[in-house]
Amino acid sequence: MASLRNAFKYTLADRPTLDTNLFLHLYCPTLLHRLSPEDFSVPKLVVLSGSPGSGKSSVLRLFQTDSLVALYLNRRKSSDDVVVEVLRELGIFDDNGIRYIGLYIQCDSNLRDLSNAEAGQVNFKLLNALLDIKIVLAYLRGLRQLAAAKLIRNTLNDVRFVALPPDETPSPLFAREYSFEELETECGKIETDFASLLNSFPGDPVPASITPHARVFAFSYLGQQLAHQNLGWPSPVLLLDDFQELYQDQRDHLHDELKRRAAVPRWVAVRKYVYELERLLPVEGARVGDVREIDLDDSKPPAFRKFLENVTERRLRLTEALQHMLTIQTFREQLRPAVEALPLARVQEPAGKILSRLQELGASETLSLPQQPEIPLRFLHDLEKHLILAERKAQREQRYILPELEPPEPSDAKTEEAARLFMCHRYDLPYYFGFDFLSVAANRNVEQFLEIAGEYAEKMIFRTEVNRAAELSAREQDELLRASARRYYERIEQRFPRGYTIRQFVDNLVRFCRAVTDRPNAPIAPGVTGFGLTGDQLRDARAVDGASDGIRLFRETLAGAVAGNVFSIKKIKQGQAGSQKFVFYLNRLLCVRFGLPLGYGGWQRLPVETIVRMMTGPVPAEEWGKKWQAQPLELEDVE
Amino acid sequence: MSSRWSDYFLTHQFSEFWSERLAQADASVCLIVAIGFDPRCRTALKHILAVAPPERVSFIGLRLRSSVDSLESTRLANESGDQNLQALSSSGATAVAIGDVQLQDAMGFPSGGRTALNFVAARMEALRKFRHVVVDISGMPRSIFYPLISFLCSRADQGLVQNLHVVVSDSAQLDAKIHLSEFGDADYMHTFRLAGKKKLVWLPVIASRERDRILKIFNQLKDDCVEICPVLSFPADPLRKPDDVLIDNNDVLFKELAVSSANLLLCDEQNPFDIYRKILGLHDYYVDKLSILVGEITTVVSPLSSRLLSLGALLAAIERKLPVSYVEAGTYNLDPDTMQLYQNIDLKPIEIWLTGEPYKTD
Repeated sequence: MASLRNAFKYTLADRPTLDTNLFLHLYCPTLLHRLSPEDFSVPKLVVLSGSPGSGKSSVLRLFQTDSLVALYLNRRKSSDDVVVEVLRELGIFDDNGIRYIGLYIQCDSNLRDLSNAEAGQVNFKLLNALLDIKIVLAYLRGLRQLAAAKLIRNTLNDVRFVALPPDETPSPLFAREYSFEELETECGKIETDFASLLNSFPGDPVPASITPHARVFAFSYLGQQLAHQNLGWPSPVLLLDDFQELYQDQRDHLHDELKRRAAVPRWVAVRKYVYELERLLPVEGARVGDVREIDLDDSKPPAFRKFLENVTERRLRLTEALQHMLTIQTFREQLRPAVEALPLARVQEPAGKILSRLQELGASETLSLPQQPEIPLRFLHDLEKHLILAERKAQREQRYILPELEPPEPSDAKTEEAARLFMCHRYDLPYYFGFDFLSVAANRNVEQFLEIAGEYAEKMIFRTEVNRAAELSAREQDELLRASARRYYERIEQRFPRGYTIRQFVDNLVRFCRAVTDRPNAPIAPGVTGFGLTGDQLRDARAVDGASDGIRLFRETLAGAVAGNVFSIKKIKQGQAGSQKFVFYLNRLLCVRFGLPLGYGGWQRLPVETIVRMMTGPVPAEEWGKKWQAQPLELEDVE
Repeated sequence: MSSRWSDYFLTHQFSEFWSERLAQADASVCLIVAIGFDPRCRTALKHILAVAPPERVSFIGLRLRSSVDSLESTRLANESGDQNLQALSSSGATAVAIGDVQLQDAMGFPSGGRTALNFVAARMEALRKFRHVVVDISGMPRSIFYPLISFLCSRADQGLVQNLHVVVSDSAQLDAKIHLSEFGDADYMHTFRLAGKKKLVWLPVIASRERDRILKIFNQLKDDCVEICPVLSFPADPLRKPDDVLIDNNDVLFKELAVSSANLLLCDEQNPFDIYRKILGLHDYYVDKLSILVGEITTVVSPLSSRLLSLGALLAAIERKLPVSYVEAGTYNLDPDTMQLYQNIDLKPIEIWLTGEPYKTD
């Protein structure tokens, strides 16, 4: 089997540059299990939503004709037929061949700019016309590919495409009969004319072949051909990607077109945005059963970890130097844990400070450092935990006359984790190591995972090439993860629209997060890693029309940050019935960058005005520290 | 294949050139100037006014605006823009029109090129009356001067513009003080879109620290990209500039995109017609050799380097109708001493005559 130097460096978006067999082995079919055969056979609207890197485009691109043809022709050669098996279960492949082909159309600036083709006028008619052409051409080209692969009979040029009936008042293109070749030529010509239109200068005439029309006719046109002809052709499925790239009024218009009952299933992939309220594709009003929504982000952490394990295994098998690691377990074993003890000389001074502080706080037990050459980390961890609990006890408002009546401070897993974080900071120990940290740092995003894990793999490959053991020490893992985190942080400003304000906000926010997380009593163990807004705050910010610069900045920055995965949203219900809050958690790589824990949980509610200030410039900690300390911190229990 | 600018007119004797031109009977000139934070937008007009009577000199001002003005950096840039506008307005030259050009639309998508084009197109009647039309690209974003010069070239071909010139006041020192950030997605520039489905040869004209933009554009093109030929400036000032650019972009070019070092193309930093000729040659070569193997093929250029190199790439794009893929910067941050440097620096505009009298064959 062909292999790659470092298969972690490839994402599924690299499909066109990869050998088909390699692609098959890289493809992890977990997301396909979210689909059902009815998504193909019943002509309804399917909305796939998710954050960037959640796999929307990869799912859609799998159903493009060239991918399906490659998969079908390779189905017996491949030793790993999992993808093909799933495609069979979905009814895409059967014994007679391919039953459905996807018509992949990306919503890009070509479609968007049609709005501006005639200065000052929003023009949906041109959008309809171009979509018609793109849909029909995608199907014709798909059929050509199938015929070339001998998966359908190569008698395409004998086929006649019948016109739509006059009572549908179709556009001129669909109002007359064509041969396959004529239709292909005509559509190709109109597509080229659209490119000329988009490249035209003000005052240039619209090419005569372009006839704007009020509806998208392609669905009924293709449906009619399939109904009239019994040629054994596969059914088309429209795959509309990057729907968020269109203007709002274009989306509203297309939404109406896609909701209309049609003979062709319509799939739309859309990036999740900041406002749950500003649903990019509002489906209200559609008949139940006509629309299915699939949220690619809603998998539970264990399910996502399992997915990443599968992704890792597949990439290990395709990485030349690491093929000997057959299972995820072997890979996990290469990620070595931290040392179990530290030399006494190294811990004496910092641990001594803890002991003094414990005495100041009136610890009843007599604690001292064991006089042995090496101090176990377990002991140091216990010491940190004792200190946290003692600090909490000392800060209790209610005082007891008799100390023996004071209830002991409870400890839990979160306090244990806070103690571990404190210990690692105090003794300069690696904190972020092991596969679990690696998978959490991926922030539920497979592209981010591949970027981080690719660096781990690179180091392992180098080791193997010079005949050394591939394993990575905890320190090395920690350093690799921090280096990835640093790169991620440093690129925020350049990478995203509103990158400057996003970075400014992150800088201010992490200062607060660190301040609270590092408090000696670890009030929100293991730490604070996000902020919250109420539904009302979001609604207000969205509703303000002609909003002030500050509110616009808030909207655009937050939308950009969520769209770019700098923050991920969790909706929670808390307080009064019906009141919903939106918690914006920092990307877990930013937590690594700033030494914060990776668990979700602690967050702080913030007024919009404060957020706007934090976006526009540095806000000194002392300026908001007191106010924030006065506000109750909120803690969410996350599974 | 012949090329439109195989013989060209370029001079560094800017003042002498305009002194001579504007001394002719009935001579008049209209500059199209982008008025943003960049103080270089004043330079060419200042030089022309120093050698010609003000009544022969006019300008169209495109006042650049960004979508949100509440940021400190944007506020400072706006202040500089207002100062530049004030300086141009009080220069003594006649303002034919001054209009706002919003660089992003309400949704945050780039709109500067389209808006500027519409603004200038609406003033074609006024422009026709001038003997010379000059586009000063010194402070003008590429997303604006690419469609604008292409449009004016087409109108010159129709006889609506008598003589079309481009002037550049380039300064690597000043460029180093301007930091681009907040990049959007890669997209084809307005009026330079890819027509139809074709295989692509990509020519990114690169400068230092361009990893993000290079990757964004590559991601846009990679489905059909069959070859990458990065363009570096050489000879350049300093001479080791191409080495620095390669060192800065080493990872992205050679590790992430696996570019072959044999594909590097070196072009004279000071002469836009060098890169112009080389792009045409490369495009014709690939079309000739590869179209038999892979079908329709075209070259895509991405101007991420100096203005002169960008101008050369533009001329090639105009001539062969090449698509241009680009990533627009959302904000420009200036070092605090930028204005001081501008005042101390001796900027010498370069004159490039694109259409009109020197190209007439009769």
